Amino acid sequence: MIKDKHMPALQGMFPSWITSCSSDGEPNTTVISQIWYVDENHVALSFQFFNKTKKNISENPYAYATISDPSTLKQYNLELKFDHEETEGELFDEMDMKLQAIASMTGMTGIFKLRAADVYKVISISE
Amino acid sequence: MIPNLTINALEQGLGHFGVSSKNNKTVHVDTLGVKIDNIQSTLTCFVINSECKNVLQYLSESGRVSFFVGMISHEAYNFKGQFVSSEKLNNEDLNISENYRNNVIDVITSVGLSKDAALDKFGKVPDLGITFKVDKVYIQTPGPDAGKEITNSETK
Repeated sequence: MIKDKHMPALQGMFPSWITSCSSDGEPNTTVISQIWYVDENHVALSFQFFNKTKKNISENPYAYATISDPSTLKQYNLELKFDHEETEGELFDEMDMKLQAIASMTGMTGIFKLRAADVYKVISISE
Repeated sequence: MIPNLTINALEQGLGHFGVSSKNNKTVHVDTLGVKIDNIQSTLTCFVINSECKNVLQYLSESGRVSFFVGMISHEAYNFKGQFVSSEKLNNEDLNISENYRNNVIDVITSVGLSKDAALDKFGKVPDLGITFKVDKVYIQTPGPDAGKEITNSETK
């Protein structure tokens, strides 16, 4: 599903967007700093705050996300379904280290804090 | 109901227009400028019609909108509301979009993105305006106020 051509868009060089929806039909669109490659069928999102996206996904596991290749701004749209969360391990540690680096570079140290790596199954990718 | 503190972000930020279907599936599309009507409390988001097949379908089903705008500085807001109409753009709309897109191209190339990529993305001229009535506005800037609703007393 995820191919080499998608990888530059999964490096966190350009923000990604995600739209989730509550169980009563209210959409929520927001920006996330990075969508992480896990394997060819899964990506991960950083869970930093108990925000609307997290609440919506707990009610309705489906989401729609867009990633951008930073060199071309070419976009890929991903249909996602929440699979599980990880609070320790290699994926969590890698995401935590990168998040702290981003926080440091953007003046957000102490605000960006990884609580979990939320892993999603990729249902489809389109351009 | 369009808070003054959000105007700068609406006029200059990157916008993403999200909707949900009757089955609570979601989709979004990038916007290329927005027209603000503070009297009617509406926003008209400029988009490219050919990119909006599912957006328009979902709007016809539920009509609920979440419109996110964010600045390079991380200042960001989320406008929730109800779909009103979609219409072709007039000259005033196109002028607003052109000014917006020129500014965005300047901003994103100033932070290192390629001019060609910026022109490819933001050089496109929108051909559709999607209008929705704003009923709630939330702060989305990362930090302690993220997710806080901007109430009527704070809109001035």
